[in-house]
Amino acid sequence: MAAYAGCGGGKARASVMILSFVSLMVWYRLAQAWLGSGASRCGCFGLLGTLTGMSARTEKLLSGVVLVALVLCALPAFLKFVSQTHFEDEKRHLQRK
Amino acid sequence: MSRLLEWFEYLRKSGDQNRGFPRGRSLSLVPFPKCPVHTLQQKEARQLKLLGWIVKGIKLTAKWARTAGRVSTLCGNTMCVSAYGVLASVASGVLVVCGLSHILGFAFVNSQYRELNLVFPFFTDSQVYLLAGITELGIGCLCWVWRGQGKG
Repeated sequence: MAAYAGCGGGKARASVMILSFVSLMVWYRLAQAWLGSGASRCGCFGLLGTLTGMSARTEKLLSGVVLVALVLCALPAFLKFVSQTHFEDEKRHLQRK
Repeated sequence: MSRLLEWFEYLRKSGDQNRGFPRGRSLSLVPFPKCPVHTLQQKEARQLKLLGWIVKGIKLTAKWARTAGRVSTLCGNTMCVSAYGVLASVASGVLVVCGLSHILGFAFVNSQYRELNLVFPFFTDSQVYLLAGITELGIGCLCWVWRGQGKG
């Protein structure tokens, strides 16, 4: 990752952070669903949900959409990082041979 | 029953070579496999093939991402903006908005969420709100700082 940070910014770090955050949120949502939250709405949007008067269903749906959008934003740079490290390893392996 | 006897005969003849059973062991100690050896080999071959396809898929996606990164660098008169940088900025914006909304939600809609949280029972709902807001805001800011510029 440190090697990648020198090549046009530390995008891999940002992607890893976004992906970890999304996985944490997904885990939290699953745990909430498993335990059966008594609240009528999830409150996923905080004040924004209250101010815009979103229904509980819309709020849940929109928060899911935001999570998917975050994954889509983070995935290309993360895949690039994975491919770069993979190709570097392959190059090193070939050079050793 | 005849199939069972057939299996025992098969074990007696070739079991020690194919499966490593020691000779002279009583049959009661010989584990009864679920399927014959050739079926197991077929299963293993199928699993290996599937694994190969998965590895190929990962490599192909990684190659695609690498090429897409090179192609999608948008250059203006003064500077180049990487598509990855743009995506990171979008993510950062979304996270900052959500974070602010959560923190403000903690400040203004606090009274509704005084019960203990179901998932983290050592926090109240409002504290989880605040924690989520701070995390989102922090990640959003770091994404903006680490969004990357220039090369794709």
